[in-house]
Amino acid sequence: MNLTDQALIDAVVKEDSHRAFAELVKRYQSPLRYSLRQLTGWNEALADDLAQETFSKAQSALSSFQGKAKFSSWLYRIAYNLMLSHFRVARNRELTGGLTGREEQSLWLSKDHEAIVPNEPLQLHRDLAQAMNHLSDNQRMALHLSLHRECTQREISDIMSIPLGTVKTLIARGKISLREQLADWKSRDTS
Amino acid sequence: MTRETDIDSLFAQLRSAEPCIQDRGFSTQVLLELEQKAGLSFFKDALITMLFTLIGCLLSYAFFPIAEFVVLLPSSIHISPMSLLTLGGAVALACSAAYWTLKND
Repeated sequence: MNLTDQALIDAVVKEDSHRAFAELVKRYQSPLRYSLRQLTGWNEALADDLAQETFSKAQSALSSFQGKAKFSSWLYRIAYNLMLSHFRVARNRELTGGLTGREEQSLWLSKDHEAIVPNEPLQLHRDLAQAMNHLSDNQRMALHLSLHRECTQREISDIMSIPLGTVKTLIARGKISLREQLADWKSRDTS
Repeated sequence: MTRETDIDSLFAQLRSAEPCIQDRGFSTQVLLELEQKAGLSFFKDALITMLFTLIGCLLSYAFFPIAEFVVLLPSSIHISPMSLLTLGGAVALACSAAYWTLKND
């Protein structure tokens, strides 16, 4: 199926086509799951849960997609909001001591450096995700969209629903923090 | 981490080596979940609920001893401080239960 995203979206909205939505999921599952892994400290289970929820929300809200932005940007906006909401709930539960065993594992596994298997082909991706985990949620998202997805600052502003000036600040500060983080790792590795 | 720490080149390196994450049933799982969520349509759901409510009402009407129940009702209500206190307590209890239910939902 070589239809454009818009044609597939039209088929889902107008004809309630499951095949068209399945094609959209297949088309975007890999980049979305990769991005969410980068944004969750390479926590694969959490990233996949968030990706699944993103597609679920996207399907129910697809009629509101106006085609002004790219479909991928629209998906990232949903994913970003879900991620923020997840971390907010997790932090609140952590503060009130209400985490269950599985939730605690889901929240903290990504912060455990020992959990990484060394010398894998994905090692560098995991390393960066771990380093990015020390940045704020906003900085992580802005940096990822800017440097990895090569979104324009205007697009990032739309995805994150924040002013353009804030996007620039987040990227600049995120780069500084990430550089410090990586330098710290480098010094630990060489010592 | 012994690799180049220049942020832009690091991201460029990762971008070019971005792995294609295998589907491995992910799409199927998403679609299955959506099918489960869709479930019954609103009208079917409403129709079933109304049907069972009607059956419930008919059964209640047929079998509930309403006359015996009416006899039990007091003909007048005497409001005392104790009854007000009991009522207040019951309302507070109901509010606490509602709050607890919502908080744990």
